[in-house]
Amino acid sequence: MEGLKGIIRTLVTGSRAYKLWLTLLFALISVAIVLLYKQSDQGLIVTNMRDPVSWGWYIANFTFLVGVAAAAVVLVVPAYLYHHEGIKDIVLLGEIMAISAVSMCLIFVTIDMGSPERFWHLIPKIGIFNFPQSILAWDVFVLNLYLFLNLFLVTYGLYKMYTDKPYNKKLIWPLILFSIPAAISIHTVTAFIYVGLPSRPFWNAAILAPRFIASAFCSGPALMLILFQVIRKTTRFEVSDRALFKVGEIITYAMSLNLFFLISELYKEHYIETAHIASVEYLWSGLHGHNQLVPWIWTALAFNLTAFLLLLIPKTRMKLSTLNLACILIFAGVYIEKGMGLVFPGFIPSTLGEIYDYFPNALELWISLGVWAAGMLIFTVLAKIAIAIKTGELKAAGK
Amino acid sequence: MKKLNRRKFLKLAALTGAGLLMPRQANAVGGMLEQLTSALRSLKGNKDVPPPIPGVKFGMAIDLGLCIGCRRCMYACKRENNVSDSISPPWIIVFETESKIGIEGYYVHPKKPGEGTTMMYTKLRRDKWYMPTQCNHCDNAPCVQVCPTGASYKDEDGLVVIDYNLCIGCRYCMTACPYQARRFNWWKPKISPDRLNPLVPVRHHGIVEKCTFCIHRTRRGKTTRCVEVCQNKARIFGNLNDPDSEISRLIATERNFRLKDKLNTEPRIWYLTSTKNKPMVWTTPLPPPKGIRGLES
Repeated sequence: MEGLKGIIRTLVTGSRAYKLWLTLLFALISVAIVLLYKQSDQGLIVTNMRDPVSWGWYIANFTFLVGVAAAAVVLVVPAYLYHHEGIKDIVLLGEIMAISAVSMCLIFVTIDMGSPERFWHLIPKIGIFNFPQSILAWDVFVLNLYLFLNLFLVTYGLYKMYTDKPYNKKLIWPLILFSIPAAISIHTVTAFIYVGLPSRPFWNAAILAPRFIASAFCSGPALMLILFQVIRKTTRFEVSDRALFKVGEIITYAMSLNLFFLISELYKEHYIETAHIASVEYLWSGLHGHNQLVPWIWTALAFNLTAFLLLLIPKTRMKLSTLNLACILIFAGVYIEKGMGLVFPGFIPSTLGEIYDYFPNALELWISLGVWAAGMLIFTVLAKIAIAIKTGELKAAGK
Repeated sequence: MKKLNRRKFLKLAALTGAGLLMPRQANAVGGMLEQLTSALRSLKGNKDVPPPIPGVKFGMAIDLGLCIGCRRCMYACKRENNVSDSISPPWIIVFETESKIGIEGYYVHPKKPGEGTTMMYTKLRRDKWYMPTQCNHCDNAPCVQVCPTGASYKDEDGLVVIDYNLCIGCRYCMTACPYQARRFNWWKPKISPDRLNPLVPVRHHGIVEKCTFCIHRTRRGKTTRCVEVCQNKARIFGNLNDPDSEISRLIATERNFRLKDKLNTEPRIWYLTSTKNKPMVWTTPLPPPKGIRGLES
């Protein structure tokens, strides 16, 4: 009870910047709720999605965020398998980021559904859960599993830390080990949703899942690096430079793989240009004069290449200002590449050759921003509690 | 004393309950219950459609040499199956092609309702070939495989059926379908009441639909509406299990192909291509019927 009161007290007290941040998040969420009401009332016609492009901005965000969630493993492996002390301190924050990202994923999928009030049709026994036939059913399963796994690890860890009791290693160790393949599995299964469709040659490629993982290990840690520095500046929580640079090094490896996979993909499509190249053409050079994604994907490539060079040179990788620049570039680059660059061209041209130039409208963008705000809110709340416990502020406040 | 308290409490609870249940919420709760019961019912079979006839396997053949692209099938299907006025094409799309086989070229989907495209309606040209496409009712249907709730299923008579009570509107089936045969209800159904067919359920917004091979007719011994209205008899529908049926004979004797069958979908529509110099009628094309929006060229 004391602890709960302390938590509430921690959450409502904070600097002016903290309160402004919360106000902003709540404002964005409210806007999204109003627009979501409109969407559920009138139907998905209020978005720019149509029959030829039946998945749009929501699913693009979902795909990108699964990668961010999976990237928590980038901290878990060095912390627990290689006992990197600096990263051990921050692994908890990585898991909290995973919780927020998976929550956002689930919200994005739900708002994309035409009849979200029927979600319970996915519950086995009550509805028909088409498992293991449908890979989408697998995704529902692994995403929820990963969410609850991380929720448990975080709450258990924090509780033990608060009560000053040692961990039950026999309970925690297998779960931590399990969280590693679980993280890989959420992004693999999400990739398999796209890969398993012979109707869409753009996605029906074996390289897709490995490339998903490679790009996830760029974008997730890049976001982490920036968030950690914000936390370090605004709270008494300590993050060592050593840990930050280690994460930067991991991003470098991941980005080199991501670029290599991109070359493999483009070679396969371009060396002998079969009819299946239409979507790749639409994305990179435009198809029959339809080229609205072209500037986006070239920007993404430029961002990724610049960031890769910044990370490759030790001098710029080991300097916070250039490291941060690289992180921002990578986050934006992968967001374009894994979001609109992956989802939209898969539908254009459609399976019977129809071109529908999809681009999200204002409503979709505002709703998505609201979902991001909700994710940020989850992260802020959980991180604030975690930091208060870790720095002993919560206990001090209770006394 | 205790009893009285409980009675009081129950009364209070009932009153607050009624107060909380504003019409909207009451509707939502009622709808939820209705759905729950319909879903439980659906576990024991889809009650929207008649049961399959034992021993029958339906299939369709379309004679490309006889199709003149008049779109009668498209309009008739739309009326027959209570397809809402939409910015999406109806369940049947007719392509105009340069060559004799296959689909070539690209075309642009309308941005706004009413804009229309060439695949909706076009001037007929004798030097072009026309190819109608619709749901192929594949034996190895990708849409059935990917559906997370089992709303799309393969029935014994070869039809791929959607249980409208189970569909959650995730649209994964639309992504998986190689034939662009599936339509999503982007908005609330817009159908003028005078053209409602009582045999076909009206689909509300947020769920997916597609060609049913006129399940409400064919399972009651009639043929599909598109076959009925085709003036050149380019469409042939029948039982593939019966070796003497016209469709079985045509597939066995005439040169034919199936659309994208390399994808291992085992489609149930055969396109006949060997028909040359068959007697055919060049009817004047029908203008889009009045009162159906979204079809204007």
